[in-house]
Formats: sequence, structure tokens, C-alpha cells
Amino acid sequence: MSLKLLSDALESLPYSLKEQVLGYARSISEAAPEIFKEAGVRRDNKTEDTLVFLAGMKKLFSIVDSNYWVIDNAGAILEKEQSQFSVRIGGSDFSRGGDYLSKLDMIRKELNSYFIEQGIADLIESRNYSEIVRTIQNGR
Amino acid sequence: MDVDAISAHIKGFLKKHQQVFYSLSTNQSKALELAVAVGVAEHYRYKGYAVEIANPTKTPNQFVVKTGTRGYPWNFSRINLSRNDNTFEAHLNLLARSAHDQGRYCVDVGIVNSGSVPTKGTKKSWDCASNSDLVTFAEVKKLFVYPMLLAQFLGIVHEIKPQFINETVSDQFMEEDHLLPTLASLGPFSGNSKNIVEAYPTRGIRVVIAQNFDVRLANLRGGKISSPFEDESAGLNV
Repeated sequence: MSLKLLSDALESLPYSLKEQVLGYARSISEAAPEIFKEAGVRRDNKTEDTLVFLAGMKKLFSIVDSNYWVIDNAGAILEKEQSQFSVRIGGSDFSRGGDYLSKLDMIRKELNSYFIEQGIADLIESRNYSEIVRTIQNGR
Repeated sequence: MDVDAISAHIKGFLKKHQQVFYSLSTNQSKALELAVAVGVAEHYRYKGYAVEIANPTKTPNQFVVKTGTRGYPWNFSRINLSRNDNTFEAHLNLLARSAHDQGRYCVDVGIVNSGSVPTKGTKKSWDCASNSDLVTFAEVKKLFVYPMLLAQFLGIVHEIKPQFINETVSDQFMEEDHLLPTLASLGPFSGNSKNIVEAYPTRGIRVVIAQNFDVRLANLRGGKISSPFEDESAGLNV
């Protein structure tokens, strides 16, 4: 069950992105026994399903966020050091303030706002899976 | 936490922004290649080189990134690097000749001797940079650093610049402060890959593995580091 809920949610995501998210969630699913052991809590299906789903959300957000920042950071350095304000890759405008980067920023912010609204933004940002498991079991 | 409700919401969110996610899927690797080219330029600046971007004649004010094997290099931007009498160029997705045979390989960022890649179309077709003109190169992957990725990268080094794995790096290369052949990756070390990389110096392997490259770039932008390829801890924290 643990990957099914995530897989359903990712239905309309392009294959390569879906595989990145599911692959990461799968690795957390495989590491679950160790994570529960380290957290010192009893392993149950519901907590494990939530853990794997959250891992998928973390990966999804990280893909959007890191792509935005990689382009923005590269653009900022090009602007500052080389006075290059316009960047084109293939047919796409990758400039800061350009259409592509603006859209990435929009979905990044929308996703983050939703996680805040749901009270799970700290879990999405956390790198400590044992802590995440403990938080889930404490009723969050 | 209502996981079912969150799942349903995310499903709707992804459907609503389907087009953006398709663009993201197509552009993910290209964005990383751009980032590594910028990182390479900043590394050479840190080493005292003057860095100047030369854009194609048709678009003098636009940095145009080459994203694959197709297309001639004169239609894309290049980065000129000069220090004293030494001049080099960095090119994205550069075709280069094998060190062993007539094979051609496309490196994500190639640093070549200045003047070895034509700046405009020639009557004679341009095939690739000669192996002797290719000084060094960088590859980038949107993956974790895992053992088989490292093995694949060393295979590329063996085919293109074997001197970096058989202890015959020239004094001139080191004196000119070039970047060693580099693998930049979006993810951290996984499995026992860190142990493998830590053993490279003892085996005479001279390469750079820049894990967490996105974090390194952020640190570079923030002025916390001077080169995304130098410092062992560069990719640890923003």
C-alpha cells in the first residue's frame, strides 16, 4: 500500500520525474526497518505508509526547489560577474525573470504554501527520518 | 495528518501544472549543465584567470547554451579564460576525440586550448576537438553519487584523458591550475561511494567528485566559497 497512494498522486507527472520521486520513496521504504529501529518506535503499516508518502513529497519539492535555485544561482553569478542577463537553452528562455523560471518559482511557492497550510512543512524540510517517524506516531 | 486528502490535493496540483512539470522534466539536465559551466568559470576566476563570455555573433547579448551533440560550437556561447600567456576556452557539450582511437565523445563542459574550436563556420566540416587540445572536462548528473556512477565516470576519463588515472598528469597542467576532470552531481554520496572516492588519491586517480553541486552553487553565490570544486566541505551546508 505504501507506494500506491504516492503513485496515484503522481499520475500526471512525466515519467522521468515520477521515477525520481518513486525511486526515492522506494529507497526510504526499504530503509524503513532501520529508520523505525533508530527512532525507537514500534513499526506499523499506517506510520510506514505516511513516512513513504512524505518521502515522496520531500523529493517532489526538492526537484522543483533545486531546479529553481540552480538556474537562479547560475543566472545571478552570470549577471554579477559577466553582466549576462539573458540566457537561452534550446528554445527556452532561462533568464532570471523569464517565463520558465517564473513558473518554477510559482509552483515552488504554491507547493510550499500548501505544506505549511497542512502543518507538514517542517517534516518536508527535515533530513532526519527517525524524527519524522516519531512525529508521525505522536499523532501529527 | 490526512494523507488521503493531501494525496488528492497533490494529484490535482500536478494536473493543474502539468505543462510546467513537462518543461521541468525536459530542462532538468540542461539547467545543471548551465550551472556547472558557471561553476567552471568561477573556478578559473578563483585561480587568477580573466573570464570573458563570448556569445554568438547573431545574439551578442544572450548567453546561448549548447545542450547536446547536435549544432556547431560557433552558434553557442563560449567562455574565454586567460592568465598571463595561457589562454583556454570552455565549451558546453563539446565533441572531443578519444585518447585511444577515432571515437568521439561529448563532454558536458570541455576546456580546450584557445583557438582549437572554430568561431565561425568553415568550408571544411568541423568534426570535434582533438584530444591534445582538450585540456580537461566536467560531467554532470542529476543523481546521487553511487558506486557504478563513479565507475562509469572513470571509464570516461580512461577513454578521453587517461593520464588522470595512470599517474602521468603533466607538470604544466598543474602549474596552469586547471580543474581536474570533474563529476558534478545533484545528490550526495550514497552507499559506500564516499569510501571509494576517498581511496582515489592512494590509487593515483586525479579527479574531482563534486557531490551536492546545487548546494555548492548556492554557497558560491552566497560568497561562502570561492570555487565549487575545491573545498571538501563545499557541498555540505548552505
